[in-house]
Amino acid sequence: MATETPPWCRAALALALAALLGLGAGQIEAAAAQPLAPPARVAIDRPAPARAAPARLQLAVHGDLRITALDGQRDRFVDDAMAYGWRIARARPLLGGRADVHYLLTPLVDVGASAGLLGMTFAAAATSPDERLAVTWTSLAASARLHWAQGRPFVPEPRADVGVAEVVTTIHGVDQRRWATFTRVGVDWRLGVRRGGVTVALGYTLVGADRGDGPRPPLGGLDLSLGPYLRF
Amino acid sequence: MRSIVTGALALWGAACLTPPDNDIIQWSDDFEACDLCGWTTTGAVSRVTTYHPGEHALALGVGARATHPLAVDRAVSDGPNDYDSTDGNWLELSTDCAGPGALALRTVTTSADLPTPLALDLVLGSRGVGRFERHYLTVPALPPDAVRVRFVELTVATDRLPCRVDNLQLRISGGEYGY
Repeated sequence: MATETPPWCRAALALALAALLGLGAGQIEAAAAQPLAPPARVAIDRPAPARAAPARLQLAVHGDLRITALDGQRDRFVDDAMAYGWRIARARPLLGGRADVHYLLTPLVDVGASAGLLGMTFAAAATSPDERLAVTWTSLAASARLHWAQGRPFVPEPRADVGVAEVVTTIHGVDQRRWATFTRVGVDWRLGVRRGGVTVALGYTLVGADRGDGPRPPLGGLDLSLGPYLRF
Repeated sequence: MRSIVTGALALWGAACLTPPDNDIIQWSDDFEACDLCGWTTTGAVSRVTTYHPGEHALALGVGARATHPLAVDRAVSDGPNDYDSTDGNWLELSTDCAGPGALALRTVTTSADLPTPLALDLVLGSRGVGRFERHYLTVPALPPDAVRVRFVELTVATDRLPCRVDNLQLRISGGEYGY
């Protein structure tokens, strides 16, 4: 059965539709008078470009030179060595190497471990040049470094190491072992790119006092290190 | 040819300008090779370890003596000069007895026909025992009437304290270290 809408009802519906669309007669005329707007632009959500995963693990190997002449034990060692009859007793620099592994724990701190091996002859006997007082230093330390260079060149990164070292003193071919604690503070310069480069390090090593009898070679001092690093 | 001659003259001149030998060890003992090899002892004398297991010394108890033969020839004219009391010889040692001690010369009689045989007698200091120190003792003047002398033995003795002695060395001076 068909139902016919009354004419007054159609007129009311048309007025309501016009009110909803805001298209009053005046507005339609005003709009017609304005120039055409440019075509609408619709923003499309695109996926963000994939960022490279930050390198968090760093491996480094250094050649190490420790200037023991700056150790406070230097003068006492020379005096004691001469008192015991050694000749040519000097605070010679320790030479060797060091390997580091560091992990980027937070955006600003690398934590890791460091192992080193150094050695030097500190005195020779007067009667035989083959009779020497030699020291070997084998160390293991926990290390922390501020990771704030962020790719900028020549930005020093402060670093601290705390560890223990096995000190082997060899006299007349006989070894004597002892343990020493040490603290190293300094700065690293990582010169390179994100994945690798060269580290230049400068630091000072303080060694726990050895209060034993006899000449005790100076083992602390200013450290100079140079070597490559790789980051993964 | 000229350069060769010049070089030879330079070498000859350098040799002439080389100072006389100094600080030469004539005899020494660091007590490392063996257990008091060559030493004749009286009283409590032993070889002991000092500050390192590889470092040894001669330990003498109170009133102990240790004697080692020597064969060191010296001409009286080898001294740096003729007007003082030294002849350019000295004894070096490291000991924990305070003070340098006293060094004396003693004429000895030997069966061999030797030029003026002499013994060196060292009595270690008795002021106390402390850290090891190096001591230098000048050998007394050699007999002025002797042309050549021979040091035939060295005796180390203690008086009132036990002492340890290491790195004994008898040295000569060619003049630089003459007093």
